[in-house]
Amino acid sequence: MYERRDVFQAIADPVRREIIGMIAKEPMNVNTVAKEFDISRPAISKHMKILAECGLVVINQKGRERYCEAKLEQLDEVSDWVAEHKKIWTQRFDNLETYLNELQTKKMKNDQQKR
Amino acid sequence: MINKKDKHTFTLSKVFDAPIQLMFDVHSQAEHIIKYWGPKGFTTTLIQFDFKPGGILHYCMESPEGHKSYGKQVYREIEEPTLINMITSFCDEKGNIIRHPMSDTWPKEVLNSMEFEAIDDTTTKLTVWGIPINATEAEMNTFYAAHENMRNGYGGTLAVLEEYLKSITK
Repeated sequence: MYERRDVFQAIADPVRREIIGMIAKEPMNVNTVAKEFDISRPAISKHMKILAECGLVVINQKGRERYCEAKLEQLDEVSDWVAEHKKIWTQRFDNLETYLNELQTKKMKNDQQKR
Repeated sequence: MINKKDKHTFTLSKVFDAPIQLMFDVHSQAEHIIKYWGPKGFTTTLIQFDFKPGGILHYCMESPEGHKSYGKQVYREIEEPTLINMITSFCDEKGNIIRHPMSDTWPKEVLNSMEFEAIDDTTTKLTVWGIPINATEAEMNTFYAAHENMRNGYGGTLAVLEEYLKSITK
């Protein structure tokens, strides 16, 4: 089944977040990036491929070497999501506050009646 | 499993006038959850609820106009009364995970963590944080956990990404 790749899938893995962090400032040689990790070359290639498919990384051939460059504009989608996510939880927290007040007021009244 | 550095994708805190045990109870007992979980005016019903690690909360939210949407939470770690970790997602009425019904740019699965901290006997601070996660993939890649120490060495580069995320959310 075909699964659309998105930016969230890119940042869902700690190794991929680190790769983005490393190349965020300037493009780096793919081999140099791979050397920084204690995992196999094929594993790094797999992460690079996912990052490229998600549009967060572009790989350029320069002579014999391959450079990867971060395309951070894609991360705007993440900030949109963060804002929406925050809205849901802010509302939930407000509802919870109201509910807790009702709950505790009711309990206080019940306790008073018992006395 | 949970990397504290990952917290920064989304975080929200609020101090509530309630003891820590009550705060935990309203998150772990069905009769409480349905009262505040959905947006104002929505009716929440629980289809499945099993509050334990690996257990599932499957719920339906009905809008005032009668439109139904479904959500799911799979509990991971629970430490009464201080911590609840769970994977949240949208789903259909059968519990199959789906994309956000209204938005194409929403992660399929989000790791949410709720931390409860007693300020005093009657006040509790609740902090929730969230990060997109590919749960199936994460489970396949558990061997990365063995390299946790190696990863900690890259705190500096990760900070760059965090800075960037912060700057664009402002």
